[in-house]
Amino acid sequence: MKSGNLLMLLLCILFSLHGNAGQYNATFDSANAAYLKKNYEKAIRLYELITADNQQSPELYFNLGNAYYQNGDIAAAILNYERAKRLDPGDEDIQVNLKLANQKTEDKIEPAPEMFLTELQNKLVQLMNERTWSILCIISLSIGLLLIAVFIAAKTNALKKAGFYGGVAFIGLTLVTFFIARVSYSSARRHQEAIITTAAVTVLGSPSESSTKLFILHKGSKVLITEESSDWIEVRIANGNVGWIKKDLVERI
Amino acid sequence: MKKAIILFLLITSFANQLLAQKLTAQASKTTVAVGEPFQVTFSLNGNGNDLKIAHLNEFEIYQGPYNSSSTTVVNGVVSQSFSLTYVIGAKKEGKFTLGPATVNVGGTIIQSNALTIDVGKATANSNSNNAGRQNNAQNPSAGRPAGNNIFIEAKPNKTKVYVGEELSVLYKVYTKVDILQFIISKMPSLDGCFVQDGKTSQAQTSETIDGENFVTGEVKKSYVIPQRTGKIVIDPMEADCIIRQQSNKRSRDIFDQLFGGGYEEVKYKIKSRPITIEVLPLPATDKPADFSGAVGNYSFKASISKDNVKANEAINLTITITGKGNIKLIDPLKINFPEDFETYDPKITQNTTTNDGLGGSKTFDYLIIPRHEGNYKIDHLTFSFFDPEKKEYVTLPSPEFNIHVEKGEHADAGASVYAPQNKEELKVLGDDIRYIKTNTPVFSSADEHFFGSILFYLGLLLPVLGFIAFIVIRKRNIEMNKDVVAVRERKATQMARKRLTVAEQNLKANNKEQFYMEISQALYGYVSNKLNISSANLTKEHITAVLKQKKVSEDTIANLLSTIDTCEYARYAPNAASGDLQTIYNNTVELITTLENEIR
Repeated sequence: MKSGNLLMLLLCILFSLHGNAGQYNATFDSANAAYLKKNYEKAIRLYELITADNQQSPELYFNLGNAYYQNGDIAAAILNYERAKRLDPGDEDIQVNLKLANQKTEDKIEPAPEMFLTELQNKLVQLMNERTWSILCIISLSIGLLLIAVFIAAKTNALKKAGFYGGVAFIGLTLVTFFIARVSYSSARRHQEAIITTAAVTVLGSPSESSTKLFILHKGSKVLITEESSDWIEVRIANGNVGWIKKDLVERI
Repeated sequence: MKKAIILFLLITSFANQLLAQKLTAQASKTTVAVGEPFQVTFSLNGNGNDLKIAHLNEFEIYQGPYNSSSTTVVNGVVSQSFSLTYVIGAKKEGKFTLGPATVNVGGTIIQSNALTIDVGKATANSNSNNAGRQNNAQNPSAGRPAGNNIFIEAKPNKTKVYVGEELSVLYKVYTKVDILQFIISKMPSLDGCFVQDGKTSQAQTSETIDGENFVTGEVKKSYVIPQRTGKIVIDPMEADCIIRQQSNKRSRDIFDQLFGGGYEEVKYKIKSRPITIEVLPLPATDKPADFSGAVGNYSFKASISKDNVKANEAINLTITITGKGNIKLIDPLKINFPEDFETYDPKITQNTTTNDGLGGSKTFDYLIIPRHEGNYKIDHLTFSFFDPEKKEYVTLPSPEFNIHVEKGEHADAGASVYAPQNKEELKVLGDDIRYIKTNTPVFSSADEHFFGSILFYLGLLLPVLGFIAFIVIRKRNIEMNKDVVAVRERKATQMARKRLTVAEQNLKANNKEQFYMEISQALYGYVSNKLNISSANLTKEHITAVLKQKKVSEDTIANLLSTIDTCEYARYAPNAASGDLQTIYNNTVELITTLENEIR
């Protein structure tokens, strides 16, 4: 009964994907063709057609980023590269292009040193996407439990030992991967990171037009949204500076 | 010259005759800085005495008074003139009135006009004029006020030029007096300009300006090339010159008067007028991509020494630019040599001329060494410049150069000996983003997340369920196995008892063979069932080991083994068997009871 339900669910997901996939793939291919002909504006328009349908894939965001880059809109390129990276953090092409695009922004922000654990966590989160971490979590749980079963059923001492330590290690790995997947999931869902899309933004000391001006950010810089009110957000930049800006000056990743 | 002066004096004297007697006050400047010396002259065309000047105390008298008087007789009419000159300076800032002066002419008092002097702040250079103060009759800064005898004029050939366009400034001195010495004391400084001096003609010519004849000579010619846009002011040129002038003092020495006396050497400081040049930016439209600032009119030639060489042989690429303009400021051309070529900075030779404007030729010698065989191409070079006369950019191309490089003679030997040097680092020619991905993507909804989805929790739940199932099934199996053992154990005594009953019947019937078999079977069956040993493993050694493990005493084990031995011996050789059947029977019953107690 249970496995029957699961199968139905999987089939449903596959069918729903397949139903529109053809149409999106056709749009994607014609956008690629436009890009090849250096008709970047057309390519952007076609790629954005797919994103407008709330569809995403690392390839789509990567190509869209490239089209914006070639068209000279570095901020939009960075935004889409970041989105592609969120979906596929291990892809080298995405990292290279994001780095190149970041070199073209006006703000050169020195990242503040972070605590070892925070840095490790960030690095792990950025290693793979939330889906991969989740699948790893399930796999390591399965292996862990299998090894524990071996421990219980084993007749010889060596096998028992191997089963026990292996099982404990994999259960530990399950916890770690679950934690990372959860962090990755929550950051992806809350869209905490954003890119400045306005030419120059004055960051203020408090959410009010008349407050102290702290510093100026330019188009393409990445910020972390740490707090939110109705039309203001509190942002933190890589060097640790924090301030308030209007919500509509940034685009969330 | 002298004649002209005398004539002039005669004319003025004659003119004076016609006028009534009059006292005039004249200042060389009416606007001065504090401390700046200037000259005040009171002149009377006639005879008078007792000159009094009002308000002179407010000024400091540097020199003077110098008297000068002259008497002229023309056609029997005697006319006299008299003048008194002071060199004075203002003590403080403000507006002051000097004079009027009064003089007694034959009993009547004649009053002069009053002078109003505007005194400004002291300027730094006001004191520098002190050396020439004594005879500084000219106004140095005003260029060429009427009546001056000597001045410099700076003449630019144009006042509106493009950046980088050349203009020439000719400095000429105009004089009506004899110049004994002429020293340029200050050259015009030209910020933001490239300056080169040109040749001047040595010849003296005469020119007429406002009806006055001057002797002129070229002092200096500068070619100026502005390097920035906007208004550029060319500072005045300053010169010290010593001229010979008729003395104001009447010489008492008769010889002086006879031998050119009455003249004195006077030092003058003269200045040209500053010139303002308007510098226009080069037009931005149609500016060629390779334009690097050359302005003028040039021709361009490029050639290579050979186009068929062996690897590691040097080739010379010579580029010659000839023409008029700022040839010194021409930068080497940007040449896209094939990446594999070794190239060196060019050797630059230039040859400039200043005849009729700046010009000349500039040669760039490039040494290039192809390091590997193959066919290479140097794209055609272009040289662009701006022609200010046509007001347009001109681009001159050179032909393309195809270079065929053959394998060098020592290439192989070099390769084996200098192998590490032959390795080249990968040359990065440019940075570009990676190309788009063309594989077919799998699209998913943007709001879809695997983590936290039902599928994810099912995935987590499934192994856990599997594990629980494993534990449950295993437990049940253990339970069941446990039951089988218990049953066999429980039945062990029962079975043994049955066998013993049969043995007892055989005993009574004195059926020896059957008796021993039953006793043996009872013991084996009991041990097998009680200890859960399969019949295949039912050897004496195994039984001993298991019993020892169960902590059964050595005596009991030995007793059991000897009984089994006796039974087996009796079974196979019934006649040889000894011992009482009843004893064996009793012993067996006792043994089973002991085992029952000792196996825990």
